[in-house]
Amino acid sequence: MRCNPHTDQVQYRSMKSLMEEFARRTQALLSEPGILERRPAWPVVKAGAISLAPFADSVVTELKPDHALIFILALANVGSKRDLLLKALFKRMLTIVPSDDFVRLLSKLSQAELKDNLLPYIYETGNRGAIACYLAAKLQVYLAPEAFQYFLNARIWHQTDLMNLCLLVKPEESKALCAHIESVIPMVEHPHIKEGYTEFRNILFNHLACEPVHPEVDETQTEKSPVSPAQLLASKPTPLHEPSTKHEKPVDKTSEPNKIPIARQPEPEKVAAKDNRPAASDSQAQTKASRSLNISLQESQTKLIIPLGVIGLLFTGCLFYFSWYYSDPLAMPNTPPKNARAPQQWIDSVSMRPVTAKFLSADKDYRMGELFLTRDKFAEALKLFEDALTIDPDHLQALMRSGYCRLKLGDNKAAAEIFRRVLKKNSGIDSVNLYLARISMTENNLEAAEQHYRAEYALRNDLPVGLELANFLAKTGNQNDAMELIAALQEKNPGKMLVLSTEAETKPEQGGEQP
Amino acid sequence: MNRRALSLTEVILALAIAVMVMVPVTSMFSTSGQQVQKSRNFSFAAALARRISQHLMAMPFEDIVDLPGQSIHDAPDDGFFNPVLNFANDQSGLKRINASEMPTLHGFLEMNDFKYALSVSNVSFGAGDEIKSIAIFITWKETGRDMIYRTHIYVSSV
Repeated sequence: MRCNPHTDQVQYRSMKSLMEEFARRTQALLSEPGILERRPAWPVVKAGAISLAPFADSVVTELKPDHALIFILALANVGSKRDLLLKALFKRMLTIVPSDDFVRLLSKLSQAELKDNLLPYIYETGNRGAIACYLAAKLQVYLAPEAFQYFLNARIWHQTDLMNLCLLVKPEESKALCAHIESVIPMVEHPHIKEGYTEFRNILFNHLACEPVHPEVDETQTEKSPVSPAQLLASKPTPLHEPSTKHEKPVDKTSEPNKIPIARQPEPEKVAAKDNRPAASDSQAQTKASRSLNISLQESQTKLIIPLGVIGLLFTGCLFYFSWYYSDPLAMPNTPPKNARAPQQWIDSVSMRPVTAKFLSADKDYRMGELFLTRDKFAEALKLFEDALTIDPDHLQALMRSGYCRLKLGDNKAAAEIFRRVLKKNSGIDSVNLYLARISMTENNLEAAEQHYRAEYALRNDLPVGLELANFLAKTGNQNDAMELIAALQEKNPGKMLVLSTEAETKPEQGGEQP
Repeated sequence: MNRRALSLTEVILALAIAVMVMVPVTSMFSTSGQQVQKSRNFSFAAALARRISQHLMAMPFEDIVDLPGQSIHDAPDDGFFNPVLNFANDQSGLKRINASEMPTLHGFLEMNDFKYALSVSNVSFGAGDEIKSIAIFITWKETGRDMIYRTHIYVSSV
């Protein structure tokens, strides 16, 4: 049949003006409050839709999605015509995430209409599948348990889509579906499909899906925004059933969505081939970890935010405190006051005992007395030691040295008294018992002498003291003990020939060697 | 969907666990940090005393005299020890211990208020035979306590 160009032109202009008028009315309708069908502008919109009925296919594909949906709602009651228009609308607008207004308008559709016209797009990969799944979750469409297996087999699933898919499960059926999916998983051969099954089961089992998750949309797949009525006037008419954009695939009967559940079960290999799987799997692998983490955090943060926050605050506070307290002191100058008084007491860094200024002063005299001892100037040394003791009576070494000086100067009685004082203060000082033993010898107090000799030998356990003790024992008639001690000393010192001294040799010198 | 809120018991339990974890960790930080500080201070004091004793051995006998507590950082150049043998005209390339030339060491000494002092006892035995007993004191502040490191040397005039 030959077309008349003039008639087409007139029809086209008429359609454009009608669509422009309809768009204006629809806009007015949407701005009004209340239930859609009871708004004042509804009858006018409905009349406009009827007048546009001959151009329904063009209207659905060219008007803004929410205007197009109102057109469908106003034009036709439930039926095959309306289903066709809805399918066309979904096919066109499922490339971008719809606005909340559009979702609210979709709620005007019945569950059956949504199942018939929206859900089949879930099979599709890319934006359409993801957005269809999201819309279904938003609109609280529930499916029969057996339907999910078909969906899971149909394609490779993003985790966000699986979350939305889980929301299509009736809560009371989730346990049974979990069990069913678990039983099916071992039979799934394709690894990516199997992964989808496992993930779906985990999300469902752990109740990770609480609210619809915004799908990840591939921007390269999105269509251009709908053309405004003004732009429409400048463009050519779009024939019925033709794609609205050139890059969109033509509508194919075989690829058109079918009813749910659909006995079509694409083989995984085919799905992979169709989706250009290598590229898809690469991008999935790259983003899977981050997506998984994000979603897990989203779901768990409501449960853990308080304890985690408190623990985090505590930990951070402690870290700040210790990093401040133990930070390099060089980085935080803390100058002590310049005119600070000298302390009266220090802690000795070796012995960790307190050291007073008085002790240090006495120690100075003591050190000087030591110098005099190097020249055997006992009287001068004694004076310095006594000076030290005047300053600090607790200076034990000065006390002992004063006793030694007195011993050397022949004042045995005073020396013995001083040594006993030293022993009373600290019984573990070397040579004190030795001096006392010698003093006791000179006083012929053999019992006390033996006692002090043995105490000194027990303390030092060395050869000179051992020999002096052995000689003392021999001299006092304890030959057996003396020989026994000599044998023990000989065993310890095999390189030396040890013998008991003669009587002349055993006479102790006055004071003995300097300790 | 399981979306119940947290109970007080759960929050308290979480806090208790956090405290149980944090207490040993903080005490570990505390002990190890203090030990590091003590060890560093003691090592520096011992090394400084040894260096001073070496200098005393080398310097003229008559120049060895008492020296009151002297800060090691920012002290006037007494031509004696300060700044630890790094004389201003030293050709060895050593630097003075001040904030501009040796900021790190200067900060460390300033922070711990390191000082040194000498207590000299001179004994003359006649005929030019003299001995000096020199006590070298290094003092510093450590966790609020005044610490001291002491060592003695004897220098003979002969």
